[in-house]
Amino acid sequence: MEYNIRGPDGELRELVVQSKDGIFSCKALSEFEEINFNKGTDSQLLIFSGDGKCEKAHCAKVGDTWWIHYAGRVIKTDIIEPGSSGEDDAESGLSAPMPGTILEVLVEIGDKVSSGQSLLIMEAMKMEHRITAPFDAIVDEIHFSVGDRCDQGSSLISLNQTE
Amino acid sequence: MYLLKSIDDGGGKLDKFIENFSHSDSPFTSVLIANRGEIACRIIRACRELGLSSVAVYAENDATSLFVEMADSAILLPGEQLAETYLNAEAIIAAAHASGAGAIHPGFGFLSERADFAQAVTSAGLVWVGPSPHAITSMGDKMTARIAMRAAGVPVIPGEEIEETDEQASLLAIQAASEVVGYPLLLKASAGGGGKGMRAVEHPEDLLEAAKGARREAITAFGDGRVYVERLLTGSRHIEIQVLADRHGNTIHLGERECSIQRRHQKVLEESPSSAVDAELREHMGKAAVAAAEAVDYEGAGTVEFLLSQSGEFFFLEMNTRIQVEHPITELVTGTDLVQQQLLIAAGNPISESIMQRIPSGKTGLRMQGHAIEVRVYAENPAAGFLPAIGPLQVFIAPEGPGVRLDTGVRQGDNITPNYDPMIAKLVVHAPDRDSAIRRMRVALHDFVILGCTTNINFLSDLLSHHEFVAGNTPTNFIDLHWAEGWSEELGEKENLFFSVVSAVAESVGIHRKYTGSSAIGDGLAGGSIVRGDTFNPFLSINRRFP
Repeated sequence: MEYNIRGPDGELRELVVQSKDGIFSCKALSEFEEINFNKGTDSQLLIFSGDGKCEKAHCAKVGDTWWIHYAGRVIKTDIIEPGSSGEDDAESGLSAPMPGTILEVLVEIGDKVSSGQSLLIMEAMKMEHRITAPFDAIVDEIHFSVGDRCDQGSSLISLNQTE
Repeated sequence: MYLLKSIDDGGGKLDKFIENFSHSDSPFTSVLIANRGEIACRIIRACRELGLSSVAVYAENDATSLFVEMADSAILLPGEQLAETYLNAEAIIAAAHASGAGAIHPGFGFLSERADFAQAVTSAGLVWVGPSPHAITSMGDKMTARIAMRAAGVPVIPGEEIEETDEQASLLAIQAASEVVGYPLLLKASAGGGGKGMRAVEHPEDLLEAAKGARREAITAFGDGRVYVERLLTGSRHIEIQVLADRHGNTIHLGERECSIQRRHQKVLEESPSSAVDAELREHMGKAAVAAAEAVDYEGAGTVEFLLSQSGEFFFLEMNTRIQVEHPITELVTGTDLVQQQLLIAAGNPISESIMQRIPSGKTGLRMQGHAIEVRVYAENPAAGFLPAIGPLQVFIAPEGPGVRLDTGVRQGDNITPNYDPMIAKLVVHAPDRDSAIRRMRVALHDFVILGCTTNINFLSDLLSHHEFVAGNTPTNFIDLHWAEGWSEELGEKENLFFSVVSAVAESVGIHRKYTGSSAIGDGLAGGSIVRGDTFNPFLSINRRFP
């Protein structure tokens, strides 16, 4: 089976997983030729390396995101279903990180903003959060005004990136 | 209670402990917990060990929470807003009457430091597990507390109190105060805590925006926009002293906790003892803390917070008139149960003899044994400025082992929602010395599996491995100092590939299928969830051998 995975670095990779007698491997990449995988109990995935070592990872899927716990770290990846564009609004950092209220809008449509500049302030979980520009841009649209409530993931502001 | 008594074999110490509540003249045998989550679970446990029954109160969105399940009985507080539920003094007191509870334990946060609530509880004929309304009022308001402490001879930080409530007038007053106090400075909500309404200001040009923000947050969180301006002591440490006082004239301290590691002015890691405090300084600070408590006729468990400067001077910050989040580390190094002591003291008992006996003669504080560290596991994204996160706890596997303690109010399958504080759990370790405690905590963090909701565990692991932390150099700006550009997960190309491969294989293996919705099937052959070729499953090998 072939899977499109957006890794923790944001890189999209096409990976081919083979299975034989219930043992899984991913020969697509030479680095991992020697590694075999098998299902463990519950959320566990067993990882057999070439030298006979057996390690465990815990895996869980929420939406299109895979959560992996391995060697004491939790790392997320996204599986991109065939046909989807693979683009994610949330990545621009301009969507509401959680449900909340808009406290202040610091820019106006047409403003030139530089990377890191505060665009608006929202309140969520009784704390103030600053939404900042991820790159140099011109403000294209502002979707909320002061006092508005917004849901998690709603797009707050649109920017046109400048060179 | 009968059952508990029957466990004890010889009518020994346990019997004596429990009998404080088994006497017919005990003021209460049932305790209502006016709180939720982790601390509610902690208090319920203490009640059970003392043979007291527990009553939970809960909001609709907590109906399936762990603390509601753990309590002997639970009463719904109808309504959507906090003001209708956990902040609804009237409904909580009514619930106590309805359930027959004789006492109310407020936990921390919510109504725990509201003198009017303490008064209302007492006036309703119930026992308040905490200090008197007078002590809460004197200490709860940071301005009054500073004045009281100066009078008691406890050193306080240079600072100015702003009494103006009108926005324009108070901004002008803050401006004027900033010139007296000097930079860098800290703006703090007079009525609050928990890092809300707090702003550090480095330069005069940032003052106005910070002051507006602090006032706004203070009004939202506490309904009181007053702030005070305080000198920010750079390179200092946050050291606090735990005190216990009863109404029989005993006021003692239980050593210090260092809580310097903070982000957003909220504590992340606490340890006891502090690497900056020696026996002499401990006794000195302990005496000041005891003086602070005695100045307000304190009763119960309380914490006096100090800033310890690089030169070894200490200044009073505030007194928290309640149990603290980080109380477990003190419990571990002193071998006490602070919540049980709160309940015993509230019932009119003196501090337990077993504790008083362990105070060396001529001292005011308990001897400490070993080293304890607590980390707060938050649902938050340390790579995005520690922004709170939400999500399902799809997999939640807590570490265990000798010297490892987990205080939590959640279990696997629960959801972290934006409704309440994002703290998931407190992970606490105890070991003979600081180095072994650090090693124990590293392993515990390594083994803690939380999937489905972003947490700060990866960050905490890096923190526990930081050479400056290991060396004990922990000023309050530790995180800003060592992660000036913010923290991020550092993975090499090979790791990025590896996690992508693991995800692809997990998808192919179908690990997610057993967790998804109504098609979820349990373990076992009947469910068909075991993949053919599972070499670790004996039933499957049988199956294979005898097809």
